[in-house]
Amino acid sequence: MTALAVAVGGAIGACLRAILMSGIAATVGHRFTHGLAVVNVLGSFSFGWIIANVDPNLHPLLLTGLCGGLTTFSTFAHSAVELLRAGRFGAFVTTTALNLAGSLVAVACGAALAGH
Amino acid sequence: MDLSSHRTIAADYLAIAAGGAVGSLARHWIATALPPAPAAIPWATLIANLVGSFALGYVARAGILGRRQLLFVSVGVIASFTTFSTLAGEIAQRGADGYLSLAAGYAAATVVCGLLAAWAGAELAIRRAAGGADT
Repeated sequence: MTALAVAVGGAIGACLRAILMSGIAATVGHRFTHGLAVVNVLGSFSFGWIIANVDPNLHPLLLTGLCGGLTTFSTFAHSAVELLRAGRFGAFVTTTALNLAGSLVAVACGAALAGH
Repeated sequence: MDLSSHRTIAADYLAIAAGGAVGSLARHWIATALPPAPAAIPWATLIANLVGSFALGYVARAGILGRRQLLFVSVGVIASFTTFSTLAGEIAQRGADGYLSLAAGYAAATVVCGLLAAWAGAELAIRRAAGGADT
């Protein structure tokens, strides 16, 4: 049951990420990796809120599956390296700062926000 | 509206969903095998993030997959195998528990080694492609 919950959450999270990132890229363009930062910050905020407020029985579905599938580190690492390779150091610093600091602040805000 | 394009979009998201399920399950199994301790580096997440970054760097530069295969493997499996929310949660938790240098060291190790892994994967793919062209 736990494995099924993780798989279902991961499938939904991955699709949500693809929808959000393609929607944001269509709106603001591909030049900056805004969509990636948005999904990572949104997913980290949700992670913090869920871990503080939701029944642990739902954590495999919502934390490991949904938030884990929604957010991604590998896409961040690859995008950051491609920005470095292209010599776009400003965009590299912005991307790294937005993803890392944004996700840390978001997870803390989510956890601090009481659910009742 | 062209109905075939709707089927294309549905099949794309099916590939991403299937990959997302596989990648999340693999990450879950590593976390089960290596459960994180509150005062230590969460090895399961670190391993998943570094292995995934290397794999994505390779796949993205290798040019061996078709469009939908790439959606399944990179947007689905690899992206879901790695995670930013668990990483942020683990860093924040260690910081909140007073393990500040552990939190900072874990964050720095993930980012530095993750970028190196993605770079190494891409470099391997580029060199293999160049080697294939030479012969």
